[in-house]
Amino acid sequence: MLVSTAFGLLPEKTACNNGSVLYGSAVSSMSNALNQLNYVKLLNRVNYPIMRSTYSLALTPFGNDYMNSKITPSQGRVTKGYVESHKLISATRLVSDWLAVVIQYETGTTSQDGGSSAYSPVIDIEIGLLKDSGSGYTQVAVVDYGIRFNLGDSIALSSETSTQIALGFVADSGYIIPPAIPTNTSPEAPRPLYIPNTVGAYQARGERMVFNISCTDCKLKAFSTFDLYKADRT
Amino acid sequence: MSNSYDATTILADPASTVAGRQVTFETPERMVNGFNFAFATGNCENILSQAFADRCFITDSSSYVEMAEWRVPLVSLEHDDLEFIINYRTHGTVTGCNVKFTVDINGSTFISTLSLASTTNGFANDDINVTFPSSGTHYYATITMEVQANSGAEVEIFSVMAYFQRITSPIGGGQKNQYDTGTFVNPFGANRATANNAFTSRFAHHMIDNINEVRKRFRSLLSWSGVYDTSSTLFPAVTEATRSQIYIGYGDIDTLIAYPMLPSGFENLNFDKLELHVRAIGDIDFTFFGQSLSINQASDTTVGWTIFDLEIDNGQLSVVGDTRLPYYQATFDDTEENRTNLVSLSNLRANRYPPAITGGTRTRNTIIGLTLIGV
Repeated sequence: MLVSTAFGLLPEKTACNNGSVLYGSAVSSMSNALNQLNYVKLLNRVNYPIMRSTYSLALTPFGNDYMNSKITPSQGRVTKGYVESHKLISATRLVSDWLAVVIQYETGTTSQDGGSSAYSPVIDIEIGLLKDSGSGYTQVAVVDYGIRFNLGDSIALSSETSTQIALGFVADSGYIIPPAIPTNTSPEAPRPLYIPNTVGAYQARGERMVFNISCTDCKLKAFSTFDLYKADRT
Repeated sequence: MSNSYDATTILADPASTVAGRQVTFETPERMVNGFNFAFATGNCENILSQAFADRCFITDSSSYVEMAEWRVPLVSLEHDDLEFIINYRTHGTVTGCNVKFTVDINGSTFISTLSLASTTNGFANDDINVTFPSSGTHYYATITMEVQANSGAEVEIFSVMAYFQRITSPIGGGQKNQYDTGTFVNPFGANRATANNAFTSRFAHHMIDNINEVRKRFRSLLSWSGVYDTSSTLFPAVTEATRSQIYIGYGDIDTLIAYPMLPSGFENLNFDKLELHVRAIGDIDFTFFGQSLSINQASDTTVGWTIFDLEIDNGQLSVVGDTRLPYYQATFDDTEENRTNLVSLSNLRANRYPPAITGGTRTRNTIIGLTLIGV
């Protein structure tokens, strides 16, 4: 059946009073509204802004105390071989399955551009399952070995040569749900990420996940996930 | 007749009750299950999400210092189990490093303390039970984060998240509240709908009221706080540590982004549906999501939260990303107002907050916290 994205009008309550003729469409609109609640409004979304140091060469003449705000869209200072990693935690829904990913990143503040084989930004995203066995959370399983953004898939390079201002870009995993659940064991081309109901002996959906993100030759500025909407459900 | 739910059967077929179809109990049964599921589990995901690059959020303070403050939406007045999880590392010898979250709900405060073990990249968590005020409307909490390290140690935070745990099936008996203690939701006894019982007027009235109430449930779309009081003796260089962002600046224009979902019918919802909560020092005019907003406080050292109901101009907004739903991009717009008033090279602040310092361009007229919540 189709799941409406709209907040549809609900029937007048008086239409459901005792003695009134109750039309099937009144019940239908309630069903629609409930499906919209569970599969549109309440779809999981996570949005992580990633704060970075405000150090800027341009501010050094003013003194250290002036380095307290983000005065340029990007931090810059991405050097060849720069690496960073992030562990971003998400509490998922019992009905979460396919997730789209939208990332903001910056790269390419050297004089080398996309034509250079020496400068090769990569962002890998993997999902791990967190469990608290009584002494705190640890990752107990890999839920999805994940995806890789690189120059061949979605990552763009700036030709900016400034060390102060780098261009920022946005990339996403797309919303096309693959015909089969992923079986890769290392990051593959961007696609929606997948949370199975169980991983080994563990319940996965509805549990805490950690997005393990590693970046090479670039910096992550924001990370967002969206449970994918499916118009047709059974 | 428990108010149970089952995640596998929450989809009711809207076409099953139209003219010409035989009415069967499975549709009301699934509606009951769908509502109980929505109420018990909806938005029991991240209400707070913020991350920090290496050396950005670090302290060596031996006493608790306020590092950050956020506004978060509540799930309902029945969801009272709040868990915090952080990803962090420690430096030096750890004997007494702690993180303390203070949750304020209309003046009632609750404290969660995370004791940190020595780690180079680990997690710490704690969950607490909050008690909501017995009267009035309550839909958000203010969370303050403080950190302390023992002598010789430093604590570095990489990410912070919080969420309210879902109500496990079955939901307890009786009427429930979404946000208003005077307005009720009635979860349904599942057994009543598992046979060909009469479709009562009360069932329909409750269902319509229930849907309207849960539509009011806020989602967290963006939670950002400045990191106020960093300190480090191990990494003293300005290129290395302690230069965290405190004030929203010119560089946040078009880059600090939230994705509110505004489907058809959103504009017809007759309750608060998209709110921007801003923590500021003094006064500031700025533009966010197409709207010019003004904060006017008592003095240039007044630090406080201001709430704005955002109006939506769908025609001006653009859909973002490949997510199949009408998500929009909400951010500080590239306007003259923002270019002039946000902290920039031509509008610098000479001091780090705290404390708020009077006069000139020390700390005043700045934004130090921001949360966007929407239904």
